[in-house]
Amino acid sequence: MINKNIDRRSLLKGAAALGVTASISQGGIDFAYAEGTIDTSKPVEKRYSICDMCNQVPRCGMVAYVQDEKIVRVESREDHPVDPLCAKGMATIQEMYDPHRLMYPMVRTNPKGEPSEWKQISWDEAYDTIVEKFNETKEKYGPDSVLFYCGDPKEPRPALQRLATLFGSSSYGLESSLCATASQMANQLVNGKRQGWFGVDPSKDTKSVIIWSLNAAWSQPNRHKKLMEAKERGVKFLVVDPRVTPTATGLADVFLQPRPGSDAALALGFMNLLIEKNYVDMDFVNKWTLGFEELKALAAEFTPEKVEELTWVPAEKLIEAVELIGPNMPCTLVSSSAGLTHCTNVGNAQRAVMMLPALLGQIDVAGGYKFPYPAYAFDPYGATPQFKAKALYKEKDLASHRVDKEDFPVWALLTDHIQTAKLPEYINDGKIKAAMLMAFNSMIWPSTHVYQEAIQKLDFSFAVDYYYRPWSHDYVDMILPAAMCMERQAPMTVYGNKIFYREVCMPPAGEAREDWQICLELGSRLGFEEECFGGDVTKALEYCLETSGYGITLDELKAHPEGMELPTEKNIDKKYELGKLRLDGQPGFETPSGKIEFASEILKENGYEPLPKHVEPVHSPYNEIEEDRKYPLVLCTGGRLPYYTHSKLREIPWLNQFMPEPVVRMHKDAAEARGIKEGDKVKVFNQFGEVEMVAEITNIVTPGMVDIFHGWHQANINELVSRDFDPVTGYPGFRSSLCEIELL
Amino acid sequence: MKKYGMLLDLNRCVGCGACQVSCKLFNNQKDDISWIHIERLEWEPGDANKIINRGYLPHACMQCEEPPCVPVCPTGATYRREEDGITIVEYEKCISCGACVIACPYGARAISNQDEFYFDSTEPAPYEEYGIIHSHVAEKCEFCYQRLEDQLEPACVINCPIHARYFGDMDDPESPISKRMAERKDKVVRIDETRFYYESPEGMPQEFLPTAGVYSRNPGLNQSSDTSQEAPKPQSATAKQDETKTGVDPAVAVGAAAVGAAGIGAAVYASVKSKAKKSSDEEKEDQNDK
Repeated sequence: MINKNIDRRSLLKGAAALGVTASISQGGIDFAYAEGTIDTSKPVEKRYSICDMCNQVPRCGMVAYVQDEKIVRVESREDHPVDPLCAKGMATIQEMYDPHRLMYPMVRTNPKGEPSEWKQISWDEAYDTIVEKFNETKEKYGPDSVLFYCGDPKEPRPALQRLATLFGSSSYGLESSLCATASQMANQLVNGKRQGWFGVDPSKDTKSVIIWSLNAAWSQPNRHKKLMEAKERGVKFLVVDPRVTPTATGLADVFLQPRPGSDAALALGFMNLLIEKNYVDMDFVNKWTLGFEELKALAAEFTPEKVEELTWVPAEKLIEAVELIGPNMPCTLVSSSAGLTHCTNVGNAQRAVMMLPALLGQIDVAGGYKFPYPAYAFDPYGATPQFKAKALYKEKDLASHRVDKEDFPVWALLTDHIQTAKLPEYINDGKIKAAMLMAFNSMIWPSTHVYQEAIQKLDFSFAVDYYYRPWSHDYVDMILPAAMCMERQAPMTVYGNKIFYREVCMPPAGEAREDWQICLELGSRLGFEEECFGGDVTKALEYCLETSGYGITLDELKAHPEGMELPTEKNIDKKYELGKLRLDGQPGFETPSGKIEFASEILKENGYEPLPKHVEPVHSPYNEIEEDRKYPLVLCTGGRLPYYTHSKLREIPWLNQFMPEPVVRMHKDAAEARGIKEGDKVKVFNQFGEVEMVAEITNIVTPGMVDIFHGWHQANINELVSRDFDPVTGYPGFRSSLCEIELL
Repeated sequence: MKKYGMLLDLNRCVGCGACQVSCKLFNNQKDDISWIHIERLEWEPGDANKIINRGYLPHACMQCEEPPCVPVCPTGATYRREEDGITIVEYEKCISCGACVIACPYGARAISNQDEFYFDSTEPAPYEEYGIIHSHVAEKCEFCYQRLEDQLEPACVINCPIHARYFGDMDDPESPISKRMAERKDKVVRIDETRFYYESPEGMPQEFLPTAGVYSRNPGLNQSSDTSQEAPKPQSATAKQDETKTGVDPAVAVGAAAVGAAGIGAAVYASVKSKAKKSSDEEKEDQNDK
């Protein structure tokens, strides 16, 4: 136990009298501290949960110290698959006691599109309204007209998906419209249908790693720890990133710093040298790949000199990179969900990168690009296909009437969530008329105002959130208060073959309810009481465990806070030789040709370019768009910070202290040329929008680009990003737009 | 008797702030001060092939062998524990005169002027109530000595996601710090005559290391020749907090460098860029314990 021996010395020299509850007014509602004093005679207990402060894929383990039913400390959890926490994880406790939290359901009393005025309502009233509106909408326009959307945290997904499918709607949408899915698709198109992942961390056998577009140092710091450990044992690292990140400074033996949006050219140039220098495993390529000759011809155009011209990476650096990797097998590749993907050519660029392991002969070998195996019945959120109603989705043939399938056919083929890039069009065309928006943030989308205006037009919508967020909630009819991470039981978490229970460390504040409960209660009231377990989250978890077939009960799982192991199989090398990758059991890969596809059959069939060609971003310094000439700086936005995630967490003092206001990171040459000094207020602008920021002069970027963290509602950089989308994946060019900067 | 020490590997540190936030939580720090400061460092690459030209440097109390803050304390509130070498403050005896804040050559001490709790509340949240509520007293890193008594490592150590911090009894060869020092050998630099060690990345100018005077709050005291060029900040008899935006004390500039302006994370991060000049070798001699 911590701190049990200290004297409880309370020293407030000259303090104001205690005992007066603070109250903060916002939008007409008074928020008050829901706390009282702690009974210090009670023992301090440890309870175990997971953190949700980032994009929530890692699900880092967390210990909550609870005294008198109040959480008094949080700490990293040792002996957990994902630990330690980061600054955000430590700050969960401050967020939990933020008096601005939503405490009860609220309905708006003034028109949408204006600063909101809210009235408190009961949960019954809230649900009654939602049920009425959703049924009405379904009746008039069909079930697809109701959108079920989940942002970050990702935890609500399984329950929300169940709800959407029961309701009959194929309009299940996620923030993955702009995040993980493009990289997953790229790997799937190249390496096989169920290979929806984007990299393999080094193992004990790895000799070299290509890190292409990942900054774990800031996006998942405890993963960077593992990479540093690999570095310390002698593994070689090639790091590719437009910015000098701590990943680059900590790991790179060779560092390539390309112009954002030029990755396809760089990858093709890399391939070209691999081929020239005989680092390609021709035995593997001849036997197991499709389209090598065409790829080789394409790559031949990308000489080191041409690559230097297009990507700003010096020719000798590219050669150095190839010479680092080529001789150092086994080699693995690590990429990410964002970064490279935010360009209007990601369908090609990310595929090009995903082809490198095949060329190097590193497919499914120890220390190389090892395919994960086996598949477990659980997804990372402890949900089974049965819980997510996958069979029902098929039975009802919901895929056949997805709103996005004409715009993004390959996306629709490989996913069960819609691409929301064209959400405004679907709303304006009357295809979507109502929405359930859990953890949603309007600023996720480029040219944000277009989405805000569209959402405003919906007949009815409601949000579920921790806080009132004007930029999102001024466009919805109702908000429901969500329980925070340490107040939730669902979901369980699965890491490979280990499953953990997640405890409710403290009851939810005010009238907040956890996400799964909200989804299941709503489902029950929509007529699916049995399928939604009457709203009972515990029963839902039990159902997940039952349907997994592993024979674990919830009581058993609770009794094992250290986690339980699932039965597993050895992950042997070269599973493609033994038919372990294809559903039909045949040797080979899960692609139309049965081989790894440099020229994608699926893309070809759907009218797309099969080879991973380099295409300039829509707004690029090298394109012929007249208007773009005025905006010479490459605008790269969306990079991660270790203390903020997207638009979240600005109000947490422990996190806000690191970056209190919006900042544009620019090179000293670019600054000098514009008479800008450190700390100056500047305008960042292009033909689509403008924002005001403070200049930070730094060597993290090259002179031709700027790096801007997004998610500031008062300086929403996504307004400068146009609604031009990659044709295959629907991703916008957050990392590869253009701008100019002026002193204010 | 224990000889506690800490080693911070700057190759691993990514400036994420987890240590600083953990420290604030576990030590009930108010919003206007911080025991840990994190410098954002940048320098011109000397060698075009080296891309390591930026980094992060957290620092706090160095736990001196002969702390200059102890003799200046008029009440004996601050003293060095014989059993383990940790210098602590007994808050009840502190009269907030500020002499120790000025005496510290590492800028490690602070006095909070804040009565309110977070979010401007007059009522503490449970995490603020649990532990030792305090302000208007001198405070600084105490190696989480209460945790050590429970056989737990300091909060900053266990919550560093990169495992960049190594701690323990340096007289025990099995302690994490001893093992790490044995592995990393000559790469480790001791800060003056203290219990704090750093491993700095190849190519990082050594003048950035937090030796005496480099990050001091008081330009008039224990200066290397670099820092004397900085305009002195006004000092009064009582410790005066810098009037920065978020209230977390920024470090003073080093050398002829510029501190990041308020609003760019200056509160916890100070941006430090060195010019080409190097500091004199004589000053560096005493700082390495080989």
